[in-house]
Amino acid sequence: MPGAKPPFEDLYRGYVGRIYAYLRSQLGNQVDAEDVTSQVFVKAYEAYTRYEPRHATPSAWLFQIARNAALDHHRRSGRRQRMERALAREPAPSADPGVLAQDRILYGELMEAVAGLPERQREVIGLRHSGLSFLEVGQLMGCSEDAAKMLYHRALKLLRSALPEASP
Amino acid sequence: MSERDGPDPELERRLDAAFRGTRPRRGFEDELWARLQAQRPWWRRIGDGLGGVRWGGVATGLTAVLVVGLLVVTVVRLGGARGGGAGMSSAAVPATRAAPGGAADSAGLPFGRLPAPRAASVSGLVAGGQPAAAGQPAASQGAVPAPQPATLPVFRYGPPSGPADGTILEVGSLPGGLESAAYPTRSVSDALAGASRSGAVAGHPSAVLTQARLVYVAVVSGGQGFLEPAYLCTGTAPGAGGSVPVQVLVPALAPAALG
Repeated sequence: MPGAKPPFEDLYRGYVGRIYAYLRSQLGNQVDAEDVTSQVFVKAYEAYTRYEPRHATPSAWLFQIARNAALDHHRRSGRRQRMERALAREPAPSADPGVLAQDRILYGELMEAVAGLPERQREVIGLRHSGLSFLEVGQLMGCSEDAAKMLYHRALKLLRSALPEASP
Repeated sequence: MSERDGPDPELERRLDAAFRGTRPRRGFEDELWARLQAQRPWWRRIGDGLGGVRWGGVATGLTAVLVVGLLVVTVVRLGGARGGGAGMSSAAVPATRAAPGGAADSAGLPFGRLPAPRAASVSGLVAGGQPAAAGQPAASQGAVPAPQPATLPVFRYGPPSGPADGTILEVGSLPGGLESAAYPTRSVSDALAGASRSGAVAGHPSAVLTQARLVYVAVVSGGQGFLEPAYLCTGTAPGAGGSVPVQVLVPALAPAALG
């Protein structure tokens, strides 16, 4: 629910991990996710004086910025190239080897599968599992709550079909 | 997700775990926060810091040139026997920075622990206008707690190009383009209480502090200069010819931030 405007640092500390995870699922690799996470919070920091809690929850506001940044990133640099690199499991330069290993072992395969979905399906999975309600997801994606649910269920089916059978 | 109405709850659980467990590398969060702090103009950084204060309709732009009208009705009893004014310019005893609760960890302080400013300390704070008995530690319940920002920016500079040690600067007159970092703060009442524990300084037998406002004080140590936030508390004390004005400068930073 919209409420009081928290200090920006509270917002930052509370959401930086979630925004990163969302972007990781949208962009397919650690380096791009960090880069775009930085862009998101720079934009949010600059725009925070104009943010009105009456109009959007902090979560909805931040994920709107993150969604736009992810879309911009895809448009700018070409999604195919990045996805090929991610699917080929080519570690990007400067990636932390420890994080890469843990990420890949635990969640990397699943997140990369999400990143490989078509745009709308990828977004709905990412937003929903970042903690947004279907109402918020629908508002961000420009559709109704029910339409967001339907899109999400279709995305789950598509994701299931994209995962290897042996996946745990 | 709390709702489990999807067609594939097992996959949803895996997704939940993946999104919860996927986090940036260690250090990324603090690095990004430092970058955010550093790239902002100083007036906006201060505005942000003070924007955390929940003062209702106080606009952030106005808080950047804040004169904190904090009502700090605190009777100050200075335990020392020395005479002279209690003004900050007369202070010769740096405040002792003993952090309550033991030694603090300097991790997470971008510039490390900061040198303490040379400032007048307040001793013998007593509540409700009742002077404390000589030699007794004072209480600070007389101070009215006021909301404070959780952090305030500290600015770093090279001493040859910046203000001299001890210079007091108004928030609105800070130089631009300085490297900055957010540091944790403490409340006015805590600051006054801490000052009271740090030892007596020359001053009036008693004083009533009625206002505190945020200023910055230049502290030069070890070849580095810092502009550190402080509360400049003002009030009056009984004098021979009536009330005389007094002022006391106390650091606004948490004791753990100061060396």
